[in-house]
Amino acid sequence: MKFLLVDDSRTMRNIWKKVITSMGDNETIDAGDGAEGLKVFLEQGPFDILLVDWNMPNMDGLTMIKKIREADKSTPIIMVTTEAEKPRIIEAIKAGVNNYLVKPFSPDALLSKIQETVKKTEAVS
Amino acid sequence: MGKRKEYRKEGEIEKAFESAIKKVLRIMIGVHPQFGPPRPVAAISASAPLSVQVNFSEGAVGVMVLGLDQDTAAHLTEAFCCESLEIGSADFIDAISEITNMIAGNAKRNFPQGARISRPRVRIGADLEAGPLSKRPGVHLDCWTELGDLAVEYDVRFEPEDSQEETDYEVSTCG
Repeated sequence: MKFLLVDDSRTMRNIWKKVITSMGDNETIDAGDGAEGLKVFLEQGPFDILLVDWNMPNMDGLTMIKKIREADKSTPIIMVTTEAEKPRIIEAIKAGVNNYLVKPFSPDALLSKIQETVKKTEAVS
Repeated sequence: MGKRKEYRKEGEIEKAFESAIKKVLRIMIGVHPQFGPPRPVAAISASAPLSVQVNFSEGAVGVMVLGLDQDTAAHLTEAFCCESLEIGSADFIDAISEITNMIAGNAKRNFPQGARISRPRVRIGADLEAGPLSKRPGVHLDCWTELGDLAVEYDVRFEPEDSQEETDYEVSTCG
């Protein structure tokens, strides 16, 4: 599978990568903010799944997701963020997020979210 | 304006920070922190050898500063990233910022109306700041872990009437 990882923290992207690599032979491409993430999505897609942080400089994750959803309704997106308040989660789901994981998370929790999201996507298609 | 939830019960904010620190350090770093009793401080400052500041806004106004020595910071970031990072390097700043970001983010989920958090600002070297980050009294929370000791100081207010006039938070611009 091909993953797009969008977080302004390189540390966090590396943690995601370790989990994704442990799942098998997957490809990952990084972006450090929403603007870069959007550009990479449009220029280097299609992707099988996106992991996106919320709070980032230049363009936040929510704005990026809204822009992606204008053109692409189906690519699964998991938001991985410290934003845990219910109204924020609802806002993200309305914007087109398929799954949501609150930081901090264990590697197993991220793995489960990815597998759950993939399974849901396969069931729909 | 909608009704604001009262949030003045003794110890609730302390619990929010303690729980956030515990969760982040346990889940992401694998250490089991112990806490001393919260104690009042006259002002929030960045006086530790290494400090990371996060400001709160929208729903809560205030500041949180994680303070620790460089050895502890090195041990925590190494455990977090699974590699040794040079103090002051871009990767180190990123890692310690992310740890602090998660602590602040988790604390604010227990605030009555949530809040926005700024990007963390890392300072290396004690007494780099000429003045306090907040002129109001705050709370100091000591924390001991297997990898070293740290402290969190915070001053968070929720009511609109005391959110502006007495506040003197430095604007955080770097992460």
